[in-house]
Amino acid sequence: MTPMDQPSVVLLAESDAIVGVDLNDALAQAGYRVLGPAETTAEALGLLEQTRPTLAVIDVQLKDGRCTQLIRQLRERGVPFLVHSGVRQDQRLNSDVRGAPWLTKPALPWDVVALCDELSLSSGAALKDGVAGEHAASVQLIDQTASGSRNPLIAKLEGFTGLSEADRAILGRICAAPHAVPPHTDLAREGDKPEGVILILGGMACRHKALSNGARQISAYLLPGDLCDLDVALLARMDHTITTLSACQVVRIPPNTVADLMQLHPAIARALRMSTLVDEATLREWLLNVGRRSALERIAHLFCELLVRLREVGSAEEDSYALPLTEADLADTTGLSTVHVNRSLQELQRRGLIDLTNGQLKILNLSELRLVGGFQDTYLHLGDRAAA
Amino acid sequence: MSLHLQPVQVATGSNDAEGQLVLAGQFLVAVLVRLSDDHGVQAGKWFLEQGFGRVDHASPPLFGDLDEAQAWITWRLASPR
Repeated sequence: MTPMDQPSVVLLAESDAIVGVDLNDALAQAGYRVLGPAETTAEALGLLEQTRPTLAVIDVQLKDGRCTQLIRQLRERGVPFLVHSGVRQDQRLNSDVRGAPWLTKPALPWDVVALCDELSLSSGAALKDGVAGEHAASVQLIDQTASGSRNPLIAKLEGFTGLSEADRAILGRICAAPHAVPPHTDLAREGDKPEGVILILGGMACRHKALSNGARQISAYLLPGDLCDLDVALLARMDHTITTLSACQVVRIPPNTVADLMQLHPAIARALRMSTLVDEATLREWLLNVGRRSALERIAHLFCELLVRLREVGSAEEDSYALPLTEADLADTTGLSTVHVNRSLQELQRRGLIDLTNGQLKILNLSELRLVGGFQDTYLHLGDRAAA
Repeated sequence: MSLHLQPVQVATGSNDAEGQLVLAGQFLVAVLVRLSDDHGVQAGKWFLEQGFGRVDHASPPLFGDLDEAQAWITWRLASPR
């Protein structure tokens, strides 16, 4: 909801009565005052005459035809709007809706509300700055969607299966408003009741458990696009802790949204299940690493894995990536002392395999590093898309 | 039980080569290694390269000097677990 004292007013223009009622309920529940639903442009224009809404949710095709006049009026009055339409975004031919946030119908009511929240927040900020609301709102929205370059969740899931435009749109909405979380912050603590599925969109986080003497074992790294425990809502309590290692962009997906994704979007569901299998396979590989590989091999293996995973989501440049970890973090990951981590890093640099400077790891000889670590990427199942 | 030390070179595969065998009577209980300049602020400290029996430890501390290391090893030898 908006931080303003008065409830935001949403003009709802929707030709389908049932969809209209659903959206009306969802928006009202989220604290909005709803004008409408208007089924025709004439009706919507009438409502617009009486009250200036904070924002509008419109279908471009209403019962009396395309709502060109309504769009023009909204723009003239500086009312930001989002389009919720069966017409796909890439089929838009007219320029009157260009730049407007777009949800393909039928979108989950939660998604519509989330986008309204965002629009209303950004338009509030824009109005305060004295900028024309609508334009600034859509610009800010684009900045916030984390999809400016490539959404890491979509990139990761598309590695497993083909996604439709609608699938990508839904995932884009889910990722639309990540929270910035500082480094070394617990996202979920052992013993706590889980609160939704944690999705990392930027930075690095980890899963870990600790002994009573404070000794810690990290059992997974969470990289951009990684999502923790799809079915975590089934658990009464967390059995481990999830903590950011670097500054992170984090989304907490409510259990209902996860359930909707799994039920209504088969391709996304398949990709998410696949990603759970890969998480488990990675954990097995890490167990092998910690239990049976030498210090040098463990570090080499970890660096190879990170390169492959970060490349997949567009977070590595060629053979180089940010490694925002301390030697203690690496020690807790590989079950080594910081002394052995330091020696291994020195040895890998001495052999000309890596360069680690200012938190940036550059792999200088990947084939040799793979040999040292005994790294084969089969457990990451990156080539399994065809089989899915 | 008193400990005694015996200087030794340790092939750690790194520049950390200066070591001490730590003996309790006839028994070798630990190998300590002095950290080289490769370790930055930790250089000069002593690392429990290997502890045997009760001196074995998954996350041992670094020791500022050999007296500190011996005190810790004595404590471990006396510990019930």
